[in-house]
Amino acid sequence: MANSEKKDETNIATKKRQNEETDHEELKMTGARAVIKGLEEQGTEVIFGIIGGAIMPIYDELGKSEKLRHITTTHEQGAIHAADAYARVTGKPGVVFATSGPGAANLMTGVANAYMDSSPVISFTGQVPTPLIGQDSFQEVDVRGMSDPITKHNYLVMDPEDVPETVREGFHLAQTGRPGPIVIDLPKDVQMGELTWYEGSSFDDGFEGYEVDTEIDDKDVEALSNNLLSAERPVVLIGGGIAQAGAKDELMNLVEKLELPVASSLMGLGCVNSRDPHFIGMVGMHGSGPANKAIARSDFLLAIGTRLDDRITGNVEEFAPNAEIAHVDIDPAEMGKIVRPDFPVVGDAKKVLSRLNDLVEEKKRNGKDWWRQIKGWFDKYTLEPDDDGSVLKPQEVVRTLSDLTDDETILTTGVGQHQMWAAQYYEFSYPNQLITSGGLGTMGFGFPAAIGAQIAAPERTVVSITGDGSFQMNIQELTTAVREKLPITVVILRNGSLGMVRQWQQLFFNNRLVETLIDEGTPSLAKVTDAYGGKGIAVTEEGNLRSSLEEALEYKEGPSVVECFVAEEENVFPMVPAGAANENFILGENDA
Amino acid sequence: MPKTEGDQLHPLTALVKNESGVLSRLSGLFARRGFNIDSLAVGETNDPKFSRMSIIVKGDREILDQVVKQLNKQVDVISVKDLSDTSHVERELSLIKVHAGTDNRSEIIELADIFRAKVADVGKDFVIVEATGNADKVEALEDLLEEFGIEEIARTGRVVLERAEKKKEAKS
Repeated sequence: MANSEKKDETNIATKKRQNEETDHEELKMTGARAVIKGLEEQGTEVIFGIIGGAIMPIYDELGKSEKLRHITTTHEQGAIHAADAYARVTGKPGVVFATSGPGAANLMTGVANAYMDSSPVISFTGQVPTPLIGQDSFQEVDVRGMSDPITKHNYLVMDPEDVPETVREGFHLAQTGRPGPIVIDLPKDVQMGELTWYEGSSFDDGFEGYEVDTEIDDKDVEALSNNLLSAERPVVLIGGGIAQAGAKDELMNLVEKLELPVASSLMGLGCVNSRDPHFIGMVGMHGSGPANKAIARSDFLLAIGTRLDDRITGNVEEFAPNAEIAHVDIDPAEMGKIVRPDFPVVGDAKKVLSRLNDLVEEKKRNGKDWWRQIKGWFDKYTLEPDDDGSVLKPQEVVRTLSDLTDDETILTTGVGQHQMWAAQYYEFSYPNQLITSGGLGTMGFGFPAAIGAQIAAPERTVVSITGDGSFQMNIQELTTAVREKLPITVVILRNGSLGMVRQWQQLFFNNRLVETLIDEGTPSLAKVTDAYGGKGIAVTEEGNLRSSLEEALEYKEGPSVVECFVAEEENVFPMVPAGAANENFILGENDA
Repeated sequence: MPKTEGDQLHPLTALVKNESGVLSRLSGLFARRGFNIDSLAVGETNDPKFSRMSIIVKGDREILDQVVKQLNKQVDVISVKDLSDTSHVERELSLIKVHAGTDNRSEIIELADIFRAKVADVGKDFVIVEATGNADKVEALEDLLEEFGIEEIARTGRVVLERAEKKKEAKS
């Protein structure tokens, strides 16, 4: 199956010979020019980055390109998060430029973020000239070694002749199969060295060691469908793979035909409309009562496009304990990594779902009793934050924002309490509408992500819900947003603390609030925004909330920041304590 | 003593691209995923574009399954085969520097002969025994030489290759 030994030669030398024989166009150019030409060839339109010494030859060529637009950010981390979001919005790879050493090192958090969320981000990093490599030269760092554990693949290009194929290969790898980040490290002398450009790539039909799309085993899908049809209490659990595969229609077709309840991971939100009657909520640590209860009681769990990470499963031993589990994922290595499925199916979610739809055509199942049970959990566990209007509730901010923004809106978040409230209270209507740091949990992701999203979709409303902690981690990107006149609206749920950690301290560390209260020293973030040249608005009471959000959303000259001073003690519920079974969620502090 | 499932050793053979960085990439993969590798040996194949890697994995079937899948996921890895249930040849070479004087040198050489090991070097106080075979054989010789006092050992790690007569192919 996957590993028949392929020995056909597909290296660059062979390709060159073929090109020479067929008399293709030949061009002499530098490595730097080849990078730019390669990007143009791939259809790249935007690059995010910061210039520096070791990448100057590439920027020099970039300056001559009429097809490529470059967004200079204030910090490399801002560039790569922006590129990550750009990729999620457009479905095309996000491209980043950074210089050697600190420039490249500053990218690493963003590379790891893209890796964890399977986002196709391609980073081009300058490197010290090849004779200086290994000498601890000025601004030298081993970028290839450093990025090894957090990339789908990476390159240190030592010969200018290899540049064109490396760019093509990098783009191919980034966006096929399970997408992921690529890092291409380019020593300065390789950028300046001469090469011959050949048209056409040597791996148009794939290349050895890499399989784009595994053949789906029909027998596996058939077994899955039979068990799904005979199940009494089935649940579908979706993840970001549905968005990646563009499988929303196929999913909804199946779900509607069989009237299946659907739960989602954080990354899968929006693949089923939040208002859809089949949607039972987010699963896991801060998942909805109905979703966690239903999975705990289900007899058949169909997990598609999710890697079933620990935030989803809770205590693995007690995850869906009564269910036969079918796991559909494009990455074979996800099968059995955490949960051992009874029905593993390796394949693209869209293709597997279409096959499944063919098989279940005309068949009906009776799910009335199961739905009655689920509805009971909705009645029992739907949380209404007690809101007498005396203090500004963070949940109310999210709800109002959801109400004020249209279905096309892109929402980004940082990480922490605000992220969970956004996931719980914003109504999502399409895949990847929520651009968030799911796997790595990178505070500071949301604002630069909003920049990337707005560049990708200038016509759409882009809102970033963030916290005072998260926003300040990449607050410097206000410069970028002002310079590019991006009409992003940032909504800060300011609670004076690193709230999610504070919540854990309250619940599991005897209320000892060690180093989580950050209000002292935090400036007026509205005024800071004004100083940068954006529009800052402070909101202290619920009465001003709606009008302030409206004012910010209507402001189109540049970024607006609505600083909402919310109830400081508010916590995120439901919550599954670490190590507990998902079913044993708590609904409030007194429940712990 | 019967081995528990988690102690089982599984020989894997992987064809990988012969490029710089591949070894660090793959050994890094084993380390960060917490895979228990008993032995790792790598060398160029007849085609200089490829290297063959012999990996002895310690663990149960589920761990083995993950190791194979994670290796397959690497772009540098062309193919991986689990040889646990496949007829294969396994060899290791060990250089054992043993304390040896005029009194016991012949005894050591005799012992080496029994194991079809060679004496690779003779000095005033030491001999270096070169033993080749499967891991059990090499370890048995080491145990016996221990009583003379072993100064140093260098082992290649085990290399494995599927037998010419292919029997049953396990795992993708």
